[in-house]
Amino acid sequence: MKIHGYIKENLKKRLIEDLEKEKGKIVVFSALSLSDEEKELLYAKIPRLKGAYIEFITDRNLIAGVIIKIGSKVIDLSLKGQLNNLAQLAYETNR
Amino acid sequence: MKLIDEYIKHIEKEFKKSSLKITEEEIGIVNEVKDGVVLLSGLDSVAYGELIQFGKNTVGYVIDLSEDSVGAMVLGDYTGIKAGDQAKAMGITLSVPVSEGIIGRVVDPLGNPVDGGSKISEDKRYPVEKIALGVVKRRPVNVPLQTGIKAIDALIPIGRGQRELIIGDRGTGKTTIALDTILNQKNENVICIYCAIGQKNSKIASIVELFKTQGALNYTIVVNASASDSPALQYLAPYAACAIGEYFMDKGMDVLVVYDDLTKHAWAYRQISLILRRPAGREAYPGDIFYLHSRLLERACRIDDKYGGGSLTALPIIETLEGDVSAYIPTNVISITDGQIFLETELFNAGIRPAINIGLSVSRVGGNAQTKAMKQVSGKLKLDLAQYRDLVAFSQFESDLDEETKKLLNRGARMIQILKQRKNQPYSLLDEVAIIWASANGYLDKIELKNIEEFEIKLIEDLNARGKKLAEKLNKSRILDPDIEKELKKFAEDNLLI
Repeated sequence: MKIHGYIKENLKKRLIEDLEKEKGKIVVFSALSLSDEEKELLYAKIPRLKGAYIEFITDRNLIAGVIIKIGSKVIDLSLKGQLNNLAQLAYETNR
Repeated sequence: MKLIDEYIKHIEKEFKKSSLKITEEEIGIVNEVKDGVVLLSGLDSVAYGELIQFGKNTVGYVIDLSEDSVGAMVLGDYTGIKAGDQAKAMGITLSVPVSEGIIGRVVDPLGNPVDGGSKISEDKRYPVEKIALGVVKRRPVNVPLQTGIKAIDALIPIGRGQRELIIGDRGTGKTTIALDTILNQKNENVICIYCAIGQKNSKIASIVELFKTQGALNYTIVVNASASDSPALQYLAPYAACAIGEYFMDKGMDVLVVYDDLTKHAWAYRQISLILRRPAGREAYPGDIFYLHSRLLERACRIDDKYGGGSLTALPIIETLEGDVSAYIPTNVISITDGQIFLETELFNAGIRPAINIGLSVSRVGGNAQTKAMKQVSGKLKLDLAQYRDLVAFSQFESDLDEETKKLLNRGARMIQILKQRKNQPYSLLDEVAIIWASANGYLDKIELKNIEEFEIKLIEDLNARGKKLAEKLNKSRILDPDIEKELKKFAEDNLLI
């Protein structure tokens, strides 16, 4: 079956749009599910999040705090991340 | 109660002031791990040449940016990296730590010591990749770099800031020439860097040992990316060596860098490029293989005194197969450099060592840098050798040759003989000038060929014993005036009699 050129063009456009969306996708990981009040606090801190579509995921491994992923950018505000940084610092100074 | 109120207010104020710093990080996910090269997704705004961190102690170097993936080579061990791992962009480019303390050390291309010594203190960090100096800050090569090898100093002189290729088959003494040159810089105030790329670790160990015993380690740095190191490190080694050299050059010092050898460097880069699925060109090398070497050798230069002086001389080494200089990498590097020293297996096996093919070797800029005294004696040498080469084909039918031809052949054979030199015995300027002067003026014509070396040793011993003043005079004036010639004549005649 041959796909019509017109449909092909549209499919291409759709794919690019989807990819763009995927690129700008915002995911917030938190240790415990966030209450509305906590979310408001987060928006106040990072205005970019307000009004955007956000996927919330809970991950106990973070221990405390949140990790915000915007496309390939990551803002790490979790206790786990801080501990990792500390471990890295200890490793580097020990060398 | 007022105190408590104030106290609570203070606490409240402190609470409001959040110490949380919001920092954005660029993150990617490892998709594929290949031999030393990792392909990642994500890392949307990473730059070419940026460092990325895998796990705790592994660092990668971005060398490929395509539409939806990033290619990075792993510096060091890549066996711990798994598909699905997170990688973080570090926002910095690769650099090596440099300080005066690096002199006499053996380091890997990242500046980590590999000689068992302590960490190298860090005065500055120099970028591994750097655009070469522009035209304005450069000046022509005009100061000689004495190699201590008669054949080179007389016929293919090298100047400070020059790039002279050493090319030849395996086992023709390429490394020996480079090492002798380093050994000869003992009192010349030149910092030497020996960069080993893809060499055997045993060879490096013996070279370091040689430097130690000859006292060359006081001014020499060894950068080693051995055959067992990852291709990424082999690829980086010459750039790192050059960066270390630039640190000393920027201090106004003269630097000599030996790249041993660039053939293996090209192989390492070919491997990385093929793994990254870049289109393969001639001999399966990628399209930018010329730029790989040109950007490295272009960093050799002599800085104008206005901008601090200093120079960086490069002695790249290329290994050919069966003397084939028309292969891809040899032709590339020949065209980049300011001349080449061509070594031949036949000459080496015939006992002519260093096995330099004088006809094919050239130095395009070194002539301006050659010492006056050397120029005076080498002019005759060049002429005699050229005539000898023309005539030598006839010498097989020696029976009816006229006197004049016989004389030329006789002279030429002696010239060839005096250009031989044992390894790790660099000559001083006076020694070189004296022996070439003696042969150019016919003092050796009566000595049998096999006795010439004996005469040479005697002459040099004599010069070392009695010629201190003469050496000083020559080193100062650098011209062969009648006074010096008279003394040379005396030395030559004295040693002929015994």
